[in-house]
Amino acid sequence: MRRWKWTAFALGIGLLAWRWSRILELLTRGSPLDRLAASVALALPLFAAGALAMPLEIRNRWVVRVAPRLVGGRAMTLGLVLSGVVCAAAVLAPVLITRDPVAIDLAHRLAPPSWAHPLGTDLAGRDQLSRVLHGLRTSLAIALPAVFIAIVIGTAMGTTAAFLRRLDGVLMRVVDVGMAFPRVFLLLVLFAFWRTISIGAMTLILGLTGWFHVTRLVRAEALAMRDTEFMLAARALGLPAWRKFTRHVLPNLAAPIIVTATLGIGNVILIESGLAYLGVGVSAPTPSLGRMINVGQTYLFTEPALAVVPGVTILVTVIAFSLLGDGLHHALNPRSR
Amino acid sequence: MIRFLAIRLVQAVAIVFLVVTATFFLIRLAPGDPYTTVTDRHVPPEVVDYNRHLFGFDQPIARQYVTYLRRLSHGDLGLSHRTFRPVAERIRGALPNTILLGFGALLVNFAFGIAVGAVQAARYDQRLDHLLSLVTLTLFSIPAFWLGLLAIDLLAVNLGWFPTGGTMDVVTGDLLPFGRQLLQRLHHLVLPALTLGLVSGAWTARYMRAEMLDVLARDYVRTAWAKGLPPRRVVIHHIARTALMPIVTLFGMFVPVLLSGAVFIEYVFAWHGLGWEAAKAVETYDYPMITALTTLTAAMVVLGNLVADILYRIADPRTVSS
Repeated sequence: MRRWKWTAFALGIGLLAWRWSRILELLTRGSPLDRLAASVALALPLFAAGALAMPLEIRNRWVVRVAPRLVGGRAMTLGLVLSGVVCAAAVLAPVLITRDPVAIDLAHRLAPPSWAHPLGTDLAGRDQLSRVLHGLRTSLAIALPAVFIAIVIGTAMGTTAAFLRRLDGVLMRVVDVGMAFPRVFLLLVLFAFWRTISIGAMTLILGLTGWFHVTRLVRAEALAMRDTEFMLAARALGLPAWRKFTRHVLPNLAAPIIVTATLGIGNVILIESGLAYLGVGVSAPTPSLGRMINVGQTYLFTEPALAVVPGVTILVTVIAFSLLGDGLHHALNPRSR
Repeated sequence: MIRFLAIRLVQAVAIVFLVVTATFFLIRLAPGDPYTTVTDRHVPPEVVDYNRHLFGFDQPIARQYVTYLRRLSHGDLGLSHRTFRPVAERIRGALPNTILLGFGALLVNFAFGIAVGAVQAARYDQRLDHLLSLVTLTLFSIPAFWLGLLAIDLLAVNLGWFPTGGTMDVVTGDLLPFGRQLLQRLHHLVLPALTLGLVSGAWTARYMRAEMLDVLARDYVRTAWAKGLPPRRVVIHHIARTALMPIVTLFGMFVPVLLSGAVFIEYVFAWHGLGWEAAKAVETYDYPMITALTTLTAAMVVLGNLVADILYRIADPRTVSS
C-alpha cells in the first residue's frame, strides 16, 4: 500500500513541476471543468501526502482491512491501476495537454507523430492525442453518471419489488418490457430524432434505459435476503423500515451492485462509442472516440492510426473497468472462482 | 404446460403491443417530423404539405395511432419514407440476412465459447486458463464495430481472403447458378459472423467455465474419477453434458445481444439486414420503418425468451413449480 501512495505522491509532484504554469492558467482563466482539472492536479500530491502521513489507528480502521483484499490479485491490481490511469487521464486532460482538441490547423494535416503532436494530427490538423484524451473525457463524462442513474433506479425498483410484494408483478412486467426493447435500437431512435442532443440528455437517456437488468439482479438478491436470520432479527427488534433498509439491506446488496456498476461503465462506453460511430449522439465539434473511428475508417488503408488509436483507447478503458469489476467480484465473493 | 404456454403467450403479445405503442409515441414526441427537418429547402411548401397529408402527419396524434394500429392488425406496416416502397417489402428482403448472420454468429459463439470455457475449466488456475481469461476479457471489452474494421483491413484488404463487405458480389451475384450464389453468400458471411460470434462468444466462454467448475465439484463427478474412467470420458460425458444444459438456454439471452450487435456489424460490413436498415432509416427519419423494426426486434427478443423458457422446462423439469 505504501508503495502506491509514494508513487501517487511522486507522480503528483512531478505533474505540478511539469505543468505548474498551465495549472495556474487554468485556475485563473479556465472553464469550470478546466478549473476542476487544475484543482485535481493540485490536490493529488496533497492527498497522497495525507494518505502517507495518516495516523496508524485511522489506517488500521479501513485501509488495512479492505485494501489488501482488493489489491490481492494480479488482475485486480492491473484493473485498479489501468482504470486509475484512464480516469486520471480523462480528468486531467486539460492539464496534461496544452493543445486545443478542436483547433484546426490545415497547414499540418495528417502530420506524423512528433514532439509537438505525439500521436500526429487528424484530417483537419487537430492534435490527435488531445482529441483522444478529450474523447475519453466525453465517454467517461457520459458513462459514469449514466451508470449511477441506472444503479440508483435499479436498486430502488429492485428492493421495492422484493419487499413490497404487491408491486412486484407490475414492476417486473415493466422490466420485461424494458428488456424486450432492444436497447441499441431504442437509443438509435431517441438520439437520432433529437438531432443535436446535449451530453446531459444523452446521459439521462442512457441511465433511464439501463436499469432493467439492475432491477432484476437486485430483486433476486433482496428476495434471497428476505428470509435470512439477520432480517428476521431486524424485524423482531421492531426496527423502522428505513433503518432496516439502510443498515441491513443496502450493505448486503453493495457487493453485487458495485460489481454490476463497474461492468456497466464499460458497457455504456461501448454503446456510446458504437452510436457515435453510427453518427448519432455527441455532436460534431466535441471530440468523441466513436466518431473519430467513423472518420478514420475512410482512411483505414492509408492512415490506419486515425481509426486504430481511438479504438485502442476504448478497448483499454473498457478492459480496465472489466478487470476492476471482475476483481471486485472475486474480492467481494471470496468463494467464487 | 399448456396453461404455462398460454400465459406466456398472452404476456408476449402484451409486451410487443407495449413496445409498439412506446415506439410510436417516442418517435412523435421528438421535435419535428420527416418534412420539417430533412427535406431539401428547395422543395415547394405545397409538396411538403402534400407529403405530410399523404403519410397522415396532418392528423392528431391519437388518430394517427389508431390508424397505425388498424393497419398493423392487417399486417400493413406502411410506406417507407426513404424508398416509397412498402416497409414490409424491405423487411422481407432484410430479415433473411439478419437471421443468417444471427445463426452464423451463434454457431461461432457456441463453438468458441463452449470450447474455450471447457478448456479453461479443465485447466483451472493454470497458465492456459489465465491466458484464455485474458482473451475472453479482451473480446468482451472490444468495440465490435472496431474489431470488424480491423478484420476488414487485415483479412479482406491485406490478405484478400474475404470480401470487404456486402451480402453478394454486386456484379456477378445475380447471374450465378444457385449453388455458387449460396457459396458466395457464405463467403461474404464469414467475417461478420466471426466478428459478432467472437465478441458475443466471450460471454458463453465465461458462463461455460463457471458452469463447468460448478459441476466439477459434484459428487457424481468424483465417483466417475474414482471409478477410474479415462479423463476424456469424464470431461465429455459427465461434466460437459451437465454443464451444457443451462448454456443451451443462454441462446434466449443472445437474441437481443445479437440483434443489437447486428446494428453495428451490419453497418460495418454493409450487410443488408435489419440493423443496416435501421441505421439507414434513422439517417432519413423513416418513421414507419423504425417503428416496424423496433416492433419486429422486440417480437424476436420475446420469442427468443419464450423458446428459451420452454427449452429450459424440457431440459430441467424441476422448474415447473416456480
